[in-house]
Amino acid sequence: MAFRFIHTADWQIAKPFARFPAQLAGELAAARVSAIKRIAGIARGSGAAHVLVAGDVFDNDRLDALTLRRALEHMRAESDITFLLLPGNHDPAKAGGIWERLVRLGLPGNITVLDAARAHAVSAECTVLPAPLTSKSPGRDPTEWMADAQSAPGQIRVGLAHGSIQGFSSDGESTAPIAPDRAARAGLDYLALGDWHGTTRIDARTWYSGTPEPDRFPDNDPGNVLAVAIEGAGAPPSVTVVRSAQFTWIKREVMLADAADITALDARLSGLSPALASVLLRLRVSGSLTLADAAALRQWQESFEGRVRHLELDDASLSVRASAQDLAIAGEDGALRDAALALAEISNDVAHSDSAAATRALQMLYAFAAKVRQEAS
Amino acid sequence: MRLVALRAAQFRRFSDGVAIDHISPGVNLLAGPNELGKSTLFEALEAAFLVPHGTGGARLEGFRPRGGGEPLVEVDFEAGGARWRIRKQFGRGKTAILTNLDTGRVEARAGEAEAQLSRLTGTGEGPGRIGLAWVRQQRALQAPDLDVDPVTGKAKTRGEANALTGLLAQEVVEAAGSGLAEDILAHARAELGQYMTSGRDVPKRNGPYDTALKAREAARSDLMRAREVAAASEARLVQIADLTARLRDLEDPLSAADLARRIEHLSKVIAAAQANRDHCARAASDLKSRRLEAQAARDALDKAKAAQGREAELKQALSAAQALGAEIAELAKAFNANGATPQRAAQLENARALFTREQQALEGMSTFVDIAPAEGAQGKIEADGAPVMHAARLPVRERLTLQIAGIGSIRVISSDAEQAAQIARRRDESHKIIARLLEEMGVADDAQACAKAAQRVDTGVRLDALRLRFVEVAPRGIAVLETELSDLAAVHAQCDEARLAAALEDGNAAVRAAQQAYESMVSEGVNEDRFRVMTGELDGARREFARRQEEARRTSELLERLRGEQAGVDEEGRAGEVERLLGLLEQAEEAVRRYETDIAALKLLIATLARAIEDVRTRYLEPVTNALLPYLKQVFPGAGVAFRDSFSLQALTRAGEREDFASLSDGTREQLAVLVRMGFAGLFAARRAPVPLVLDDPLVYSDDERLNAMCAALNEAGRSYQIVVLTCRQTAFTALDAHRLTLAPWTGS
Repeated sequence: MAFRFIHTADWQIAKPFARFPAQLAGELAAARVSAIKRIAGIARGSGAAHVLVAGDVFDNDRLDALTLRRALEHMRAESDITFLLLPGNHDPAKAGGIWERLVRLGLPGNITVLDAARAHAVSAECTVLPAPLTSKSPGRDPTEWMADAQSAPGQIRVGLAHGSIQGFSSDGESTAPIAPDRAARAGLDYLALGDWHGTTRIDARTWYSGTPEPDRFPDNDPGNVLAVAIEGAGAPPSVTVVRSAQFTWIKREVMLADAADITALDARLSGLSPALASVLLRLRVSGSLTLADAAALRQWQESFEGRVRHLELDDASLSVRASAQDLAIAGEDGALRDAALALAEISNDVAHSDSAAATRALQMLYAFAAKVRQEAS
Repeated sequence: MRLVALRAAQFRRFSDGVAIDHISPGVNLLAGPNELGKSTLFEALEAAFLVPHGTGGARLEGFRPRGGGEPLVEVDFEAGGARWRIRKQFGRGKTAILTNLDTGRVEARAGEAEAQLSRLTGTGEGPGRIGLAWVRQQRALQAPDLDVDPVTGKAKTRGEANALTGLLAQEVVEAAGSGLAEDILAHARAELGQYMTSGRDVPKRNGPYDTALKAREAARSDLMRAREVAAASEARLVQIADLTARLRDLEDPLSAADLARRIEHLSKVIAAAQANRDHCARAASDLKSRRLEAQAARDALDKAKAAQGREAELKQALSAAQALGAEIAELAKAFNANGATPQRAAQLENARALFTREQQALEGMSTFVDIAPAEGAQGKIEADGAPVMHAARLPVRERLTLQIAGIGSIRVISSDAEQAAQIARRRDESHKIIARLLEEMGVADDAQACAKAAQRVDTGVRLDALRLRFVEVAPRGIAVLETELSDLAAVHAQCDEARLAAALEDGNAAVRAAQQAYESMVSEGVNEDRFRVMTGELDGARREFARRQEEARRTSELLERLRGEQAGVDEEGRAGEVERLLGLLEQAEEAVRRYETDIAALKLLIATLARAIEDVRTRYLEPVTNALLPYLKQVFPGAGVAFRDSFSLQALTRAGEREDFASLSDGTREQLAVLVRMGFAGLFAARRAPVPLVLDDPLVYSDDERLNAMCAALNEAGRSYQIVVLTCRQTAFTALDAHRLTLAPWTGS
């Protein structure tokens, strides 16, 4: 009979998201805890009774007791699922550390903390070989012991580790380098890895599940868990990527030249996702717009912000120019025309130290002029 | 406008009417002594154009002559291509009449006349252009600022700037246009004012920028605190881990048992060593006793031997002493029996000498009685009762009674009787003493006495020699010798020398045995150094045992405390807040950056707009400057002027140096003030709205050279517009090419 389990990692519960507005930060943090329920649902759907978490269950190892209790309660609630938790570099197994505290708080029966590099029999047919981290940067391959780990003949051997595969580009955070051929060398049927937040296949038996809930504007594919089935010792694992994310984080770059580009952008972004309301969008605009078009972009931004959960518009690379038409707003006012021209000149001179300020000042001038006109009419 | 004639009556110092009938279109000069009434004429001119005929109160009273009367002024002038006469009666019968002199028609009266006059002269909300060109006495020194009350020097709306602005309408409109720039500038300033305190360029208290700055500061300090808590937490956890390991070591039962065993072993070894040490001490004490005993035996034997020798000595001394004692006793007896003591001998000698001397003295007496008893009659005569047996010479010392038996008695009485009697008595006394001494000495005479005394001395000497020898032999007497001897004899009787010698031998043997016992004991035990080392080791082990217990106690206490502290921190997750606070700080910094970007943009916008507006102003001030320059260069060659946007003169520029008006000398200031007025008047003239320049007593501080230059400038200006100069200094303005005005009487009709 096949052994089925869910491979996940990098829950990073209680990640603060403090640079976001407080309410959004709260929702993003909540989504990381509620991921437990979604993962349990996926497990049930795929006939798995075990969820293997390959490290970084918690965002840091000094979280408040309430957060820990809440996480434990979420897992306790999924009583038919067994959670096997591995300490990672964010939550290493240290003396007096988070895992000791969890034990003191009282672990529910369906949670197993794998805080020792010791073979752990999960079921009659499967043994898990965990490689817990005991410090933020162990500086050694924590999976090395797996090659010598004994298991009963015919047992499925699943390695569980947290770190970066040597030679595989990481964000440089991990200092737990893992041999790329560890699965083969240690006779593993599957090596479940954590640390890399995007779902990634290293080889047929070695996978990063990625984080189940994205936590940044990604360059890779986060927001999934892996449903793994292994028919028997030595059999190739069957790995299915299952979406688990609540929020969709999207990064886009666009070059704008005129109002038509803005309209096109709006159309493109509106079709991004059927659930725009759960999209976090980082939009980097570049190119050059007239004052009027820049004002239109600003207007578009204000309206689109209402349609997505969060919009970050980075216009640092966008240059704004005062067109002849823009300058017409000065009308017969010689001083205003002179000022607008002077600002436009500085704005266009990118070498000028006030160039950015001049661009902003032009936009302000434009906005004030519109306002004065409006007040007058 | 151009003045043609001026008349006044019942006006201040002019109780009688006075008239200036021909005022030329060019330069006019009214030169006259003080009190001529030049300033009154200036005021009459102002009254005609600028004071409503209905005026009352102090102003009206100011117009009235000292003796009372109703002020009347009349001015003929050209304006708008026609000639006009305005006649104003103030006070009782007040009225204003405007007459067109070309048609001879009264055009308007009273209020209407005032209104039309105002239109003709360009006055309205104040003197307007007239105010710009008519300069009162004393005003010349003040800055030629616009809209300033000429009397008080304070700002006052006089329509002067408006007159200029109106004149420069085209430039002003072109420059300021719709006023949009000013509106935007105001908006931008208002917006900046939300962030920054105007003027001081500091964040506005509790404004959004200030709040953002404070939030950033708070986020920074929160983060710093959180980092401290996190670092402390980290350090505490390391300490907890270290202490836990240490406590495990300390409480390790194996190492504790080891230590206990070591203590027990050392204790036993030391107890054994201690017992040996006690035995040694006892053996040493025994040896000492044995030695003392042997010494005592030796002493006893020595004593017995000494007593034996002494006894012989004593016996010999005793017999010698006894022999000597007998001899002494015998001699002493003889000595004592000899009465011729040296004292007596001496007394005898003395008494003999006395006796002899007294005898001789008696014999020396003169009275004698020679008696010669008759044969046979011997004894018949008694001298003083003594029968005289043979012839004798008897001295009569005092008296001598001769008794002759049967015959009677004869008493011979000496004249020295008394003295003789005394001497005799003394001689007898001496005699008796001699007799007594002899008797006592047991001798018959002096010779014997002498011999016996010598014998006695001899005996004494011998006795002394014997006694000396006795003392040598028995210094303390025979009895002592005998006692001593008897004691010795007793001792001797008790002492058994052989026994004593045996005892000594035994004692010595005991000493040797004790010595051996001690030495063997010492050799069996541990030496002192080793013993000290062992006790030191035992003490150390015991201390180590106690120390480990104490350290274990303290470590577990400390651990408990640290765990409690850490639990408190963990409960609230305070050590885990760093990342969240980092995010907050980032947010706060972003907000500050946003505001700073906006503030920088606003400042740039404000500066740029203000400069643009200023530049435009400069452009519309240009005509004013240009109108002034031709006159200026005649007085201040090569100089320039700067105006503020309110047309007020700001500075004079000479040789590139900018000099503020206020810093200039009196003369220069008054010259500049006049020149500016000339510029204004020139500008009005050039724009077909001429206004006469009227100067009341100007240039009083100017030196001749400047005055001449000013006159030249005025001469030139006079070609463009009308100028009226009122002065009391008739010679000062000789360089002025002017029409001389004269005063003529006027009846007022």
